[in-house]
Amino acid sequence: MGLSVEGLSFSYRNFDVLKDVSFSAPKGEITTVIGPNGAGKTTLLKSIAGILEAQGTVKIDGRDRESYPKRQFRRMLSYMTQGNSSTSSLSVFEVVLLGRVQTLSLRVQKEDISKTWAILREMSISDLAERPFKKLSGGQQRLVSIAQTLVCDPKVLILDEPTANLDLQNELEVLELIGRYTVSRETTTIMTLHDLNMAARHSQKLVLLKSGRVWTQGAPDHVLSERTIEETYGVLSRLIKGSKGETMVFPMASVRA
Amino acid sequence: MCSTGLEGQRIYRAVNRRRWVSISVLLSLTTFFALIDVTTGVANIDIPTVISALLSPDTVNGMTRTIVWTMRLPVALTAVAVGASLGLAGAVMQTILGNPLASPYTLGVGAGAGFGASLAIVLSGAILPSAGSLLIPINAFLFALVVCMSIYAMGRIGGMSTESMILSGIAMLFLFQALQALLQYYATEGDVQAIVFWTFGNLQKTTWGKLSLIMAVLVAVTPLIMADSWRYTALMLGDEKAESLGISVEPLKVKAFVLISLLSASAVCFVGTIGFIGLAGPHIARMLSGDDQRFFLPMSSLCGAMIMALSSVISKSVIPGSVFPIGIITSIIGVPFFFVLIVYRQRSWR
Repeated sequence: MGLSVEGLSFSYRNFDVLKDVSFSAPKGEITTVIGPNGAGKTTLLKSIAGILEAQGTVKIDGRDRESYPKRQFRRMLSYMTQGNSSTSSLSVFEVVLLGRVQTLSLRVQKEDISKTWAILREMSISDLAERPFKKLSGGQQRLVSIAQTLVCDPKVLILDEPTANLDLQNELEVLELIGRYTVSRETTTIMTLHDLNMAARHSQKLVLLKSGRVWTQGAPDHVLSERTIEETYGVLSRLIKGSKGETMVFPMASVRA
Repeated sequence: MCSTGLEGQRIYRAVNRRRWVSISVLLSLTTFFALIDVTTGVANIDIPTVISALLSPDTVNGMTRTIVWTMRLPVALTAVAVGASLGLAGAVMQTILGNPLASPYTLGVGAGAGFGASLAIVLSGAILPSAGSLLIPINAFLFALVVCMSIYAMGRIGGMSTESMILSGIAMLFLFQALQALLQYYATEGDVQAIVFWTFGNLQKTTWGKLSLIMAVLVAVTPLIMADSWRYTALMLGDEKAESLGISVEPLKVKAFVLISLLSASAVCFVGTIGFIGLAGPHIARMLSGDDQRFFLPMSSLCGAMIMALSSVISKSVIPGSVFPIGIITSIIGVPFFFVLIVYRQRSWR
């Protein structure tokens, strides 16, 4: 089934950040929320994760989010924030282990340690395990944050800008990992991305937001058009098809200029 | 998968082994200093005699037994309990406020207790002379709680943000220092002397009863704090990150603040203003344990207890035959010690 959002609205100091947002994100697929800066992407993800109290309904597998016991809801949904700065001296291993904070006891179980190590290995960052998190580069910290989000085996994975600060190779590898993870574990993955080409290539569905409203949604081919990009981003662009038929966006000029 | 798990466990256990060694060393040092504290005083009692008096009181003479059990042991254990309480309270404060300068002393809890005690001294002298000994700790406790609750209330208004709580604490510190100065300005010479003596911090007036109350709060509060240690560890990544991990940050901070209010108020109300323990204890612990709060919190408590036990020994050794107020000692040994810590940390960061 996956996750569905119905009529989600959120206001901050009389300013409507989200207005009647509705969409569904199927299980085993990646749904990417795109849109210009200030469109409400992060607010939408925080509202779905229950960090912000928005009006409207969020259903997981057809069941209202509120009907799940709080503890169960927290275990099934994992959310990665946009920022990852920290001054603490926690090691990478400890930071990833914290992704399982809902199940950790004073004496850490073998399963928690094994799963933490396994995800570090899967993401090829096990060599960083003993290093202090704060001493890593921005890109490495991003990889660790993603590992932290995946380590608890979530049913719903919410990632805010998972590829921020990553170089090209890491960006590709992370998106491929998220894709593999989503399919193999049948998670419902919702993420935000600024790179429209990456969004088109790695998502089964796009939700385009502008000024807190859903402008359009659907398969990348359907959502990305020269006219839509001009209306939402204010950018003139050309669209071409890649070798695998995927849509590729070439920005040409800002219409504001 | 099996070897994967084993490798992870090897790394994890190696880090924790170092932490357990640190805890054992701290525990041994605290016990050692507390034991030395019991041997130190006007009457010369050596360590074997103290141990005999503690383990089998009937084997030592009545005088030694009385000195050890009635006079010195309550003082030594009060030092340990107060140090442990302030160290733990300081550690939790620093964690929930995300600021290494937070402690019961720097956020005005000591100043509030000092004002409460001063008010009791002035009022009991003028109105209820016989109630003074009871009124002073009660009032100190109440005003320490008033400070904590004011910081908490301001924090609630500001969404439990670090800035609003720290600024409220600093405002409380200045407010109660000013109010105490005002009281001293109008107080009689005798009352001023009593106020100044109280604010120096003193362990000598402790009793088994007072010790039991401090210990009761410490024993009741510690498991409640430790139960949230993983959630506190998540706070080290920032409030937003902790929330993204499914932690209800505001209720966690509210609970923590209530618990540390009780810890700090019970610790200072009987012994007076004790500076630096709540600040230095967590800093030493952080160097030894890192930010994993399962180790950091008990180590902060142990560091606080160790410094207080050592300070108690020094307070009796500076001038043989007399006891220096312990609050002065903790600050005097705390400041240079703190400078060493800062230099050490700067070097380790390079």
